[in-house]
Amino acid sequence: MSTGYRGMTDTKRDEAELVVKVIYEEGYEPLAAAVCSLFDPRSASLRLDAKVTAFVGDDVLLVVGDSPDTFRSVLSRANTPPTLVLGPTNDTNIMLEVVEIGAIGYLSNGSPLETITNSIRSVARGTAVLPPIMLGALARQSVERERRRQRVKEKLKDLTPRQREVFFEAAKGQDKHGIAEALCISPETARTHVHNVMATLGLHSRHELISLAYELRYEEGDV
Amino acid sequence: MTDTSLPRRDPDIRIHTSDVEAVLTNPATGSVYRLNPTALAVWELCDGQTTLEEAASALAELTDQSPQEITQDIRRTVDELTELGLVRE
Repeated sequence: MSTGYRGMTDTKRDEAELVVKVIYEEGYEPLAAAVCSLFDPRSASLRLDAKVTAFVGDDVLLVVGDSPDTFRSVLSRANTPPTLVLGPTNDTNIMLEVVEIGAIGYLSNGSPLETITNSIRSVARGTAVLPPIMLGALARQSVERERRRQRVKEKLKDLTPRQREVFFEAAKGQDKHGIAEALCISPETARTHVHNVMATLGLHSRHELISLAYELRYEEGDV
Repeated sequence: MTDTSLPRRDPDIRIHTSDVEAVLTNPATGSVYRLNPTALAVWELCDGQTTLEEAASALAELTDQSPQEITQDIRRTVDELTELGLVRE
């Protein structure tokens, strides 16, 4: 079969014209600086804690680190350009998550500089970059996640209208006090509703609830 | 193969992977098969439970092929894997 797989393409593009913004965790500054030096002079590297509210004029965003929270926090920002993540080697969980939340490339953060720069060019063209050998593992996880998503979507139908309101308030990151205020109920009632919602949906944490709501809303516009 | 599910991998087949390719070995015959990444992905999805539709959707998301194109490729690959005795209907 033809692979149809877009990983690691090697077509040249004038990288001097590419503006790359690198956001890095502590310890990756030399790599970030080295990457920037190979692209347009307007390219820049920023520590993760730098306040960036927009990526105006950047062709590619490169995020370098080890923590999934780093990738989530950057990819959740508005209007991110095509993004390549350099993360832990062969961690399929992280790899799949960053692809699902918007990255179009993932490489080991220990990759050679030449591989990274070639991949940045690919990402600038909109071409996905993933370790080819991981395609099967990624596909299996994608199938599992989709099954889980479908199961939870079915369970959402079992929520009462009030529980559904609580679900969406909790999904906004509201605690029991915020939910109580939004829905004009007591904090204890809000807490009980959240507990019941999570039990019905088979969720184990608020974080899981927020992620799920994001996925479903993203998919359907509204649940 | 049926329209609803992919066949199951032959549990006796051994797999060796490198960064760029996978090699399957059939100990019974001594035959060795080199798989490209997408063929390997199809082989890995052959668990007797994953449906053709699920596999196509997942692989389409990860490649630049449409679900229709990837469905045809999966069918063709499964036929080849079946012919080679690497999966069982």
